[in-house]
Amino acid sequence: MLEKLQLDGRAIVVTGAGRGLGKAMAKALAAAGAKVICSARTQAQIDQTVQEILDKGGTALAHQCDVTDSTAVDLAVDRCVDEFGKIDVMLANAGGGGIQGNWEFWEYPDEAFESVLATNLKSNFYCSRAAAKHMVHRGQGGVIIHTASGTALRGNKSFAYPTAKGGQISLTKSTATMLAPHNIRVNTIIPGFVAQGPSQSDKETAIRHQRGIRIPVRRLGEWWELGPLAVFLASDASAYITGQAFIIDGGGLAGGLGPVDFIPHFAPEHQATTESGE
Amino acid sequence: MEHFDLSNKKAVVFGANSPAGNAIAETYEQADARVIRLNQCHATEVADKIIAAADDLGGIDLLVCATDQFLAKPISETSMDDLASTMMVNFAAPFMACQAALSYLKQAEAARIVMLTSVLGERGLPNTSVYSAAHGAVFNFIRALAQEVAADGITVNGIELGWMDWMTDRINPTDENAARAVRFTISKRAGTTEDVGALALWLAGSGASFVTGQIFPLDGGLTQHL
Repeated sequence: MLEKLQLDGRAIVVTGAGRGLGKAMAKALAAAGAKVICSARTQAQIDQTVQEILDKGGTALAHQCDVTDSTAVDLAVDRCVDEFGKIDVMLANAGGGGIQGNWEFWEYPDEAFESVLATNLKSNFYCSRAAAKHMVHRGQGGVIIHTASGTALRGNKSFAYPTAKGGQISLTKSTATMLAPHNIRVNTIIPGFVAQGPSQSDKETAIRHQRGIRIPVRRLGEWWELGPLAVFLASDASAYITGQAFIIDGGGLAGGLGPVDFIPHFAPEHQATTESGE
Repeated sequence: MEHFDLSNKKAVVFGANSPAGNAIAETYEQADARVIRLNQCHATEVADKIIAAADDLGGIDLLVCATDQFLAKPISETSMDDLASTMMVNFAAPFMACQAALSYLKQAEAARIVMLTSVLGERGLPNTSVYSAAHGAVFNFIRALAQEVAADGITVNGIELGWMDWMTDRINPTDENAARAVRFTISKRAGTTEDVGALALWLAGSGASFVTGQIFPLDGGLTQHL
């Protein structure tokens, strides 16, 4: 069984690999034996990710890329094919950001909505398309993984982001259907509230603790916890799984009917009203 | 308003002694249905009461199942009697009612089954393992039965109640955390019996004949936000 989790020789592109969850997943994939193209906008950050992988004896290259630019995404995948001869896995993780502001919904500007969708939905289309083109041409299948968000399954006030992330889940289902004949699997990771890296200060630790007590397991997720899931979904261990969304959220989405310390106690006095006959 | 007119409809409301069941019975009466109210009863009596009601009405067009019995205990303190009783009232008794009513519903022109259930059928809370499981059973009973009886022209749907103003068993007024749970809804209020009647009327009406196998949250947005 464990050998199925090995990614020896697999060529993987990870977008948003410069920090946070993308960096953690890139390192985990490399540790499982994959050759990783670490992609993001900020060169210094992906250089750092690559260095950390190399320091552990892994294989990785930095490739700067803005995922809102479809040509740049095509080039990132081309780079993977040029360097490693193929692309086996696309981890379309980059997201977040976009133009932020405190507008009322009815005043929300076009540019802000479009920028959030560009970063969090169109980018996933570009990454999927670029990877699928090579995978289908090569004829040996492949894996596409998206990183959505728990907000996609519920509403909240930063509506453009959940809207885009909901689109990712839908994109996952449709592309899984279309690409299944080519043995390309497509799945989504849905992180809940996850810390992006080690705490840098006591204050930050305290804030994390405060946020964590609102989650059933009473803590935030940690960046590295996304790694094993990414390895599983990238590997042959998940060969029959496609079109699915994997929630990793400390139980938040399974509850959410009140604060976590809402614990009803009630034992009815007359429980025998509809018992089966003796 | 023809789609909300239930005149000449024969309705049986099982669990009419619950606030939701009573509200639906009243609403159906206001829409000119003939309604027989059956209280929650012993399991061995369910089928006989349904059959007797059908005899009185001359058939059944609409069956509402609204029995409800909450239980909130740690799993370590939950007895086999708790398990049996909670599953019985919340799941098995409605199941038996549907079973007994089926032959009458098949003869009806536009038969409807409306099941009352709970947001706890799709989510969990501490101490509600049995109650949540019972309503999870109701959720999939609705979906499966809808498939099974679709060809007979019977629709089966559910109304999934959130925090309602009569639910002092779960929304204990002295529990500040329960009050916070109500404020967790988008609507910032608990639901009322009036909210229930209106949705149940739409489902019973002629406009809902293409709606089946669905469970509609009636929860002030509780299950849809983060």
